[in-house]
Amino acid sequence: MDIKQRFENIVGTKYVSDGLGERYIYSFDMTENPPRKPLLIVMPSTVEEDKKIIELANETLPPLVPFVTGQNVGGLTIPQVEGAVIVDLKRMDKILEVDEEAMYMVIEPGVTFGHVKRHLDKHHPTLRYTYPLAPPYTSVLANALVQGLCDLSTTHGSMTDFINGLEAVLPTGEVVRVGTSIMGDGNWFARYPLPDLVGLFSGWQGMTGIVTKIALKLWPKKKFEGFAALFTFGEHATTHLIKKIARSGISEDLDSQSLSIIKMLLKVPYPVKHFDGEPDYGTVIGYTANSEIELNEKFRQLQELVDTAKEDDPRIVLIPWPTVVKLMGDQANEWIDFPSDAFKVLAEHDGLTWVGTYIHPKHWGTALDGGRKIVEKYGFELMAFMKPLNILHIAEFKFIFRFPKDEETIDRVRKCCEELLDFALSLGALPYKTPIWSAKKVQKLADPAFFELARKIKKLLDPNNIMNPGRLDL
Amino acid sequence: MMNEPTDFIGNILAKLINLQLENSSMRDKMANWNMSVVLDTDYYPVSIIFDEIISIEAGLVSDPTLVFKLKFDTILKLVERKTTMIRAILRGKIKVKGFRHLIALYRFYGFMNSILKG
Repeated sequence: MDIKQRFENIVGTKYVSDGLGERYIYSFDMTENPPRKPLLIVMPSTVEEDKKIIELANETLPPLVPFVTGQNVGGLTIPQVEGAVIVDLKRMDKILEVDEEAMYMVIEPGVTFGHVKRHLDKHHPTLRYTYPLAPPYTSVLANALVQGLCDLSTTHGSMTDFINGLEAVLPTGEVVRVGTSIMGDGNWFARYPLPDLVGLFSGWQGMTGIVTKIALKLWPKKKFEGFAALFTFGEHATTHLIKKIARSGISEDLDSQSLSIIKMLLKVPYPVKHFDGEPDYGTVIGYTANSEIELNEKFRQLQELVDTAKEDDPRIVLIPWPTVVKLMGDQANEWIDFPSDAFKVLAEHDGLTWVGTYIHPKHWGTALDGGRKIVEKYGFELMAFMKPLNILHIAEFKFIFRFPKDEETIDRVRKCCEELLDFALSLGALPYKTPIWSAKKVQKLADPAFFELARKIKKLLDPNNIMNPGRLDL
Repeated sequence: MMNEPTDFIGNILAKLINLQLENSSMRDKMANWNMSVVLDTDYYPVSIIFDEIISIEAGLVSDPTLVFKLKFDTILKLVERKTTMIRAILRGKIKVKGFRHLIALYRFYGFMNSILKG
């Protein structure tokens, strides 16, 4: 019996494919990372099937690459070795539990942001989850495990900080749970006390097992919600003001972006250029309140902070969202209605990539300023994003590129990304959702003891090296 | 409908103007205005050219009929109806050059009132 038949015996004939079309589709993503075709694709629907797949892989040794919707935009699900089997988890798509009292949900890998929003709005309207700058059909579990950002990150950190616990099938086939659910179902309220073993799975890009369930924090949904747009000039002045707003705690979400991105949303055609005198950044500020009075007071406090900054640059403006809608049209409401599909403008071409890092707040302005010069040198559209995390314990920034995937452009994208990363690394920044080329650069500069420890953990958990080998260049 | 320029202020103004141009009587009225107006904002100047069709360009046109010097913030206050054109002019928030073109001034005043109020 060949390996395909053995996988078919586990999940059924319908859910295994080695067809050319499927192998092609799973061989690449929108990034410049080199494609590689898997041997076949298998689609389990239960934890038991995941376990059997892993047991079979240990016996026959094809590498396994966990996959859900492929929206990571980091080449993270492209096989790094020949003969890999993609384990597509999108059939595992149940919202298993929503605990209103301890405010968490337990979900399977295939649950998307769209599913969660619809489910909570319908059945638990007093609670909310958090949504990233990604399409509604993105996997919630994958985004949490790869330390992505969301519209509550400014107050609560990356999506990994929302994890209460998880269940995983280890690379050796055992099913384990971490967090308080080790005491049984209906008990996923925290990831500690005891050693915080969520860290064995978050940031590992599927190298330490297949996560089959995850418990994620939900938050009370306040009755009143407001948004405002802030337009600012210059990297240092912008980050200075954003830092002040973040530290004030007024806003749940601060999402700053190059004005070019706002212009893309306004349907300015490719390539979008910056005009002298235009603001450099547009920031969407989200804030909530329990009453209209509190909401108005929050806007007043925001205005006060902005007015102080206007003493240095009177051109800065803070615009309440109803005025933004009046100026820019009803489409502006789609930009704040997360999970939003409005940012599909970024996928104008077949190529999309980015270099993003977490950085010490003191280097934020310098990183953006230097990054901008690099992007301009290579002649790309200026598409910087930045977000303060956790009331600014961490600063984040990224430069995004949309591009046609011809050879010359891909080469230019690679060179530009490398230069951007080198510059960010020189400031002590670390890349997230780290592609392999980027991990290689980090390893050259970082404390080698960290990567030695990571290798030891990987070997301990996965002695046959079957889970997504090659990631992070371990 | 007019083309939407690729600069920020021009693009926003074009969107506002296009809303007005959905009204055919407004379109007909403006078709023979034959004038140009510069909005000299604190961001950068934008020129609105009324010819057979209306167009907007970032920068200064030569020999404009009217020049309005104002801050982007004042445009926002007009949109939010926190001020009016007359009040802003009287308080020095808008400075106007070209008073000798009274008809043009009257037309543009009405035009701005209608597009900014929406």
